[in-house]
Amino acid sequence: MDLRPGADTGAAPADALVERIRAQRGRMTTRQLVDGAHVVVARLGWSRRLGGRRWLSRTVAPAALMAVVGLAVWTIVRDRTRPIALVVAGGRLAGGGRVEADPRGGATLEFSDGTEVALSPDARTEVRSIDRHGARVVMSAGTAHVDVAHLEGARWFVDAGPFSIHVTGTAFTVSWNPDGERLDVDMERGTVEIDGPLSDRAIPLRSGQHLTVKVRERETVVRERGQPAPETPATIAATTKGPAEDAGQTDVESRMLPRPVLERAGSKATRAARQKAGGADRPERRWAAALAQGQFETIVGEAERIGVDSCLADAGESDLAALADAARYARHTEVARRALAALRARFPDAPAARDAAFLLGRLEETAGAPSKACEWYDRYLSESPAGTYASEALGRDMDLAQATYRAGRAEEIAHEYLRRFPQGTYAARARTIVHGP
Amino acid sequence: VALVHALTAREEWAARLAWNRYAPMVYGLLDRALGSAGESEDLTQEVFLRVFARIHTLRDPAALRSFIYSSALRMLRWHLRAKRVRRLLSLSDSGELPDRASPGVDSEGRDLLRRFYGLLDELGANERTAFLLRHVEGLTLDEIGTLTGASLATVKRRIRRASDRVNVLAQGDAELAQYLGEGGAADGP
Repeated sequence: MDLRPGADTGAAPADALVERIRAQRGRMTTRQLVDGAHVVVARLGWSRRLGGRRWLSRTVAPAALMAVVGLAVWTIVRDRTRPIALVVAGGRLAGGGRVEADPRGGATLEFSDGTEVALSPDARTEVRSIDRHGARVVMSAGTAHVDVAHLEGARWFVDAGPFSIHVTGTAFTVSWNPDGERLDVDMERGTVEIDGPLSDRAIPLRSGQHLTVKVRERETVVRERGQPAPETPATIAATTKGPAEDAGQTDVESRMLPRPVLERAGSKATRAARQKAGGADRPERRWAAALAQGQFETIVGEAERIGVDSCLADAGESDLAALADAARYARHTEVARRALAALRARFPDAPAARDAAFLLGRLEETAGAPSKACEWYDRYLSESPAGTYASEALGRDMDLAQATYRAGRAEEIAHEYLRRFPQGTYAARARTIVHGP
Repeated sequence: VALVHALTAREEWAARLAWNRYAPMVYGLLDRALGSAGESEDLTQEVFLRVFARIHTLRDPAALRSFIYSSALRMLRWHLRAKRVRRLLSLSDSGELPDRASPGVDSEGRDLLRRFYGLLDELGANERTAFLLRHVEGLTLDEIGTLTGASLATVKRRIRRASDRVNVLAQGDAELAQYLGEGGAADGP
């Protein structure tokens, strides 16, 4: 399937050079991301709304006293318009909300609503803002144990490097290593959502889960707390057993990976059946297992070493689907497009090939091409009217129609959505389109 | 939607969140278009400052991503135009070609890309933008027309002119011509 632009404007000139640009340019480093955020926020000059400058000015005098007694205390009478009070045990608040810990041990931020943030001695932390609903704590390095009181309307944020963790009532430990560009979040109870540079959408985490993000390697792995972190094998081919084959992993990975991937990585019987359908002589690269370990870049790198064209031509259905997923997660959009297109062309009867239509739609949507995205969603819905992604495809189709000012089409889809998925994720939005806000 | 409302209310956390979420997309577009990390970094910041300043004009809060992408594209065209004017007046921006390679790229590849970006500098802002959106970013003609506010015929004409010019210029560069003549396969990415 030709996904490239048509020939009516002339052949793509200097194709090899264009490919070089795609492969070698356009990756923003974490340092650029973090520094850029500082510059932009500083140049904006927006007041820190949760408490703002009034809060900072009230910090200076009490902080001096706190330095003498070894305990930083800053209190404000709590009423409906004033922020939550904060006490810093084992340290003090310096200018700009910076937390200076007692060198003998880490400081603990004790908020008057019962929330506590215990910092490691090496933590570099600021209390960026505070109000009656919560606070924003920014950690540029180190580890913090966060225990947020579950109160109605609570709004807490913990920023770790380029990541932002949105907290309601929960307890977790977060670490950010700026040198290794690694984030770890270990959940004890409740739920959080983590926003950051490796995903377009927030990653939800629930009680008992552990998230590791290695920014440099572009790896994102969620596993059950207590299970060992996946190791990176020297070569994927040498991997003898993928973690997705271990009991207990499937549920964890289901938060990060689409169901078809789990099926592909799941049972040996399933894989054997698929191998049979796709051709027994094809090389099996076990990319599905590597995918479940979050080794997205490794998979794409191996495909590039072997030759992407060759992989697309001879990989089995399972490996091809895994390559497509890995490329999508690691944002190698062109490789993902080609792998999905190959999947549809070579295994047209496979469920994964039908799912590929939806995933191609997501790629086009992410690339800012709504009309092409809608075409793929419509194709998916016609091929798999009761498929895994039917609700999502219809909902996104509706959203895109509305976003591109095709009100009539959006309303038509909204009716269809409500008829088929009255309790679905997009039902509220569909009702708004049909009945008005 | 909540993010857009918070940006409209000038909440600092929202600016950070929007930056962390969308800056890599904007930087990617600009860096592939300009071939200079420094220029792209500065311009990415300018794009976001402009987006935040004009966030109140966003009619559909669900379209924040498109809003940012369109702003980046406008800024890119403005930058290319300004840069071209400076080049026409002084023959060179700074007397040296800017950084045009990623760390770790082989020296031959770096030189090829440097030459290729030098060649793209010969194109007008609109032609270069249309060329990049089509061949590097992979957008459709309709999408390019919508994003740049040009008719389909104009988009086609710009891409064709840019493509022809790129081919002619590449043939005039011995190393590029040799590389392209070999199909770029010998040391492809």
